[in-house]
Amino acid sequence: MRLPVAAATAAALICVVAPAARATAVGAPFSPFFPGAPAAPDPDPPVIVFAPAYQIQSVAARFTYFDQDGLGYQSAAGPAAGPGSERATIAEPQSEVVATLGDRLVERVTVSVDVVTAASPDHRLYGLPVGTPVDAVSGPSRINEAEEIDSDSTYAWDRTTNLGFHANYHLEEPLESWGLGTFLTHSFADDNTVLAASLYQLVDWFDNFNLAGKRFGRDVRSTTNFNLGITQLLTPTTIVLGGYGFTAQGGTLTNTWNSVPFSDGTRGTEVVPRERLRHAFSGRLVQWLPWQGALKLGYRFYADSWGSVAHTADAAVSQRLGQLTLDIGGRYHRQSAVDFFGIVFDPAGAGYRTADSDLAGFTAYALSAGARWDQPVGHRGHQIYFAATGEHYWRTNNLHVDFVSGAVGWRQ
Amino acid sequence: MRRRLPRVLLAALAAALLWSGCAMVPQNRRKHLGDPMMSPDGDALLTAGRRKLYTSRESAGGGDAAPAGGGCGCQ
Repeated sequence: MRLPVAAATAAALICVVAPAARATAVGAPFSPFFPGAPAAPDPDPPVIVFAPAYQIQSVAARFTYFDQDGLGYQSAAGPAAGPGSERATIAEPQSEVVATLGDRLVERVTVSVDVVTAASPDHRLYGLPVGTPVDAVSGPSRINEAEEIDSDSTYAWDRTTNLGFHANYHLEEPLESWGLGTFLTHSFADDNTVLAASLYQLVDWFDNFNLAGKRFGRDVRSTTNFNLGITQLLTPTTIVLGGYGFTAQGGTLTNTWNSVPFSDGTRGTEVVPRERLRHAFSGRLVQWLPWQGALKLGYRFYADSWGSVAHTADAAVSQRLGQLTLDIGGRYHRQSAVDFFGIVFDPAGAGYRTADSDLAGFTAYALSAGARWDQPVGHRGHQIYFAATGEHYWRTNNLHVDFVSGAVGWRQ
Repeated sequence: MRRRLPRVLLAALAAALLWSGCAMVPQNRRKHLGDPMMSPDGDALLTAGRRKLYTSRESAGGGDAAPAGGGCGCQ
């Protein structure tokens, strides 16, 4: 198996290099493969224009409201041996600014705030009828605010290579998270092919609460993520993308307040492995439609060391009608349960156990629709836009989420 | 089946690379490819919100140049 793959890779590199060499031969200004190649004389030398030291390219603000309802066995907000309420609402304002610093550096900063109700249901209150308002482990968790700031700095190393750095900080009661990462993109063959690689490290630091709400110091979770991707222009109207992502997680991989129902009518803590290795392969096709539209198709395969395997497919169509753009989309997701999922456990039993409905086997569907209005402003090509989106997401194991989202933005 | 799958996907990736190296779309024929509707990810903020919903409500994530978990109180 190794030899054909190696041979195909070598042949691919030859095919990538060959067009680049051809581009150089016809007078392309730069080739990463033949930097010393003589350039054809330029009869019309370019006018040099210096980029401004700092310029804002775009500003966007968005507000999204999620409304979730359903039942899950990890929640004690219901009968002792039955599933409890997963009722929650999330209000999420977001903002984004993209700016250029000189002619090589692009900075993108996003800030988001999540206001979550019922972030951590109180397991002292199990036995209440379904529909009872969910209490929380700690006072602030009744209405929990999570804030996050993300920064992406992209530096144009040369005409074909971009180097970037990512940093983020996330704060919510009772969790803090720090993230750092780097990414690299390189385009080949007159920008027909772009290869991308990225590496991220996240560290989560959070309070360990038991089911009665008693705090037992701090716990740590580490997430290391490596990604490879390729973007290819297939035709003047078709783009394809492929990607692979590997994520290794270690530490306390539960939120510590999830519970499992015991066969004697009581509840115990969720116990999960301290390591999780996750693989995801994805492919995407974007096709221009001749009636001012675009079609997007995607597929992802996922497998992890906890035994969960998932297939996800999505499709979306966009249609422009003058300054108005309409979008509709659908998503299908099917996943198998992790190896240690169950809805009732032996109180004397040892080993891993979870009743978390998110780790169960289920099929999820989503349907979405959106509209966007682009309005030119002034004579310099500036635009403002208004957008609205709605989505209905539902799972076969009794959970559904509706969200509505509105945005306003300006861009050069 | 599980052991064979990564090899098949690796071969598919190599084939995609082979395919990619031999296709050329000249710069002056990329008008439609630069249209905002052709952006694979669409609106960045909306995509981030959707990703948060899916990764917190499903066991699967990743494959889109983002971590498959971590960074929030969900998992």
